[in-house]
Amino acid sequence: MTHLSEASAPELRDGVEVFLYPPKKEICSVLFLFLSNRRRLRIECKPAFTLLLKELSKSQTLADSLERAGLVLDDETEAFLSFLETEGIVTVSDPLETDQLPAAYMEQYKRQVYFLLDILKSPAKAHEVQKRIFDAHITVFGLGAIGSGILQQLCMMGFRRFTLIDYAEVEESDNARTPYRIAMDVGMPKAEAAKALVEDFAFDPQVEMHNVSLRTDTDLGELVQGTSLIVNTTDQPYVGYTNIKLSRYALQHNVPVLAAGGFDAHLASLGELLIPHVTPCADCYATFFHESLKDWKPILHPVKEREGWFGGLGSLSTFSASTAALDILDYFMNPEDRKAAPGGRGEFLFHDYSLDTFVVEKDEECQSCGKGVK
Amino acid sequence: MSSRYSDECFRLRPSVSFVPMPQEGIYQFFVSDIRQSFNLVFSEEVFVKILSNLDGKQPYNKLTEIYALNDRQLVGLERLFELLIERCAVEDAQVVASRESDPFRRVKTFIGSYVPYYDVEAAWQRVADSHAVVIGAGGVGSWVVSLLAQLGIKHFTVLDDDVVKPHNLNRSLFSKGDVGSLKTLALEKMLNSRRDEYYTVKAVEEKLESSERLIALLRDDSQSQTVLINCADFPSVAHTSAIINEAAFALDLPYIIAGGYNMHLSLVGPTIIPGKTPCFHCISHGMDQLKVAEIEGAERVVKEHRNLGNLAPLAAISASFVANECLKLLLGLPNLKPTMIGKRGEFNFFTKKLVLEEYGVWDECPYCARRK
Repeated sequence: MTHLSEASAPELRDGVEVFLYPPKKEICSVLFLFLSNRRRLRIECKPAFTLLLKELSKSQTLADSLERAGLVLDDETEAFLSFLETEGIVTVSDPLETDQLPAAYMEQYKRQVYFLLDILKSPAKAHEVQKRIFDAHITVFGLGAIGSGILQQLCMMGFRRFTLIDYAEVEESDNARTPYRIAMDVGMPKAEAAKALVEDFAFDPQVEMHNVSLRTDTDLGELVQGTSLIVNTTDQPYVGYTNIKLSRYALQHNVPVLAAGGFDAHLASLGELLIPHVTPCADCYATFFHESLKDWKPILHPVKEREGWFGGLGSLSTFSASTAALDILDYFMNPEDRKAAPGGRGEFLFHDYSLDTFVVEKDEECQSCGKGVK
Repeated sequence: MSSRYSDECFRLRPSVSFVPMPQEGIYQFFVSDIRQSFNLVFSEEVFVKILSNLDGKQPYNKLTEIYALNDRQLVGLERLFELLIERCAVEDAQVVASRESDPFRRVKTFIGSYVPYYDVEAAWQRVADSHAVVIGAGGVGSWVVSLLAQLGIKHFTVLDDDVVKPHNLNRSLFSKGDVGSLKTLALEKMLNSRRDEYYTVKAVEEKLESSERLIALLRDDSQSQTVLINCADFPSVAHTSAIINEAAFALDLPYIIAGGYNMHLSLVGPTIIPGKTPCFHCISHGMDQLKVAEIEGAERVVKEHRNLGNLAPLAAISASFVANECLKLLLGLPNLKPTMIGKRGEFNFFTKKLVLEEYGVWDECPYCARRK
């Protein structure tokens, strides 16, 4: 905090509401409410500082604000202002001003930057995150309801460079769950329809597409080279297998994988973000579920062709895609310096909106990411 | 021996898992698309065999022959099937076959987890023939229209007077090509591109200003089930909700307060049925009682013109709750009541959990107390 001169014009930030309580024995309580995430911060201060907070809600120089509050810029006042800035309660400059990103991009995403400010507290950090999003290259495997739903929301959050992979074509029955920009192109390869979606929704889009299926012998190097994050939504032949294949590749190349939910028996499940050497990997998840479901043995289903005969709602896929998009945003807020954390899975239940959650720990013996693996 | 079933080709529904439990004779039926299960107890080994092979290829009356069932077993099997049909574990493959290329197959199959197979079409038709009145076509409203259209709802009235601007694209469901056009018309275009000539959209280029106007707009709509949805927060949600409440009571229509508004990004609003559930005023009164404790006597300092933050996934999540509530409301099933009746929720986007607060009818509510 070096730039606070009396000529500067710090202002109360738009996303914060301030509640001033009447003074008790010359001490005032203040509540700051951060609107985006409903965070509450309470402090106690001298009455003159509450006058200053009121003045900071107006567009004027610091000198004017101080004078009207009966204060001078001494060490104590400077410390108070510095606290307000660090906590993201006041901003000194226009929070949208940056030379790192195109002006038209900032205009399109300004409401998101305001949102990021509420959480990150400083404009510089918010710009840094948005710039990371602007530059990121995301690879999406599977462009069904969830894959294309995540893709659409990523475009809406400012991501713009994608590799899109799917082998199937858009079908009539995709209508009930996929974004309209894809559902309208019945008969077209999904990767192509998804490319059109990106072109309609993203800022300055750059798309590569591959009309292929993910198989055990697929050479991932060619498909995902240079990618910042992989999204996996392919549930053929089985989502567990495709997650493991991608997760093992990702461990070697240090790329995070978002293993999405939203399919068949997991219509509104939360996805799992697999960060190499930080969270459990897909093998750890497979071991966990293999172990926890070992006594639950359904009889082989008599109906052989079950694909497409599970129910689904656009609202449930959208919920699943949205929570995945939130996880991806969370990752881009802080991609490095992450502490090891357990993973987990959540199943959102339609009938009462509860969330069934399981914690999944890293498997120390894991053959892909455990202790013995270099 | 005659049975109530004959030509039906029953199958275990593809989304249902049939699971023998560790205790002998207990079997679980896990309806996986809604993640609900129930257990049944039966000792006839032959029933296990029948269910394990129930692929919809044999008519019911052939089962007697194939499995050489005696009269007692026949009676038992009929009772078992009655139960499994009612609990949505078994369906007639011939009846659902017509859904093969149905654009709403997934929705119907989902409804089939709450409604016996023979009632699914009629239940979905009730939803499809309904009329959704969406007030406000912004961040949440645009998603709501899209999600309701995906359920198959055919009739829409959308109220909004605004045009799409570039800074709406970060969370409203509009594309770059929609910039400059009216939000109502952009949504109409979106629905028509989904399915040509299926949807009817009445685009009303107005801001919601009075209950009289809303009543006049809806007075003639008497054929279909109608639900009002508040996605408008200008000048405030309280203001628009009060207008909608007034109209909803006058027309006896249910309404949903969406949530996801500018100052309440993570709010999931209540579902209200006039005269049957707590209304907007009951809930506001209840909330005032809670709020007073926190900010009583405090002076609120805010800037006059504010640019508030928002985010695509939060708008989409709010809208997803509205669509879920709408489906529950329009299906009108005793086993699937709207969850948000008398409730207000806060969606925590870190834990992804919805925390609900409950409210009752306010004794002095000018709308509900009168009805009592």
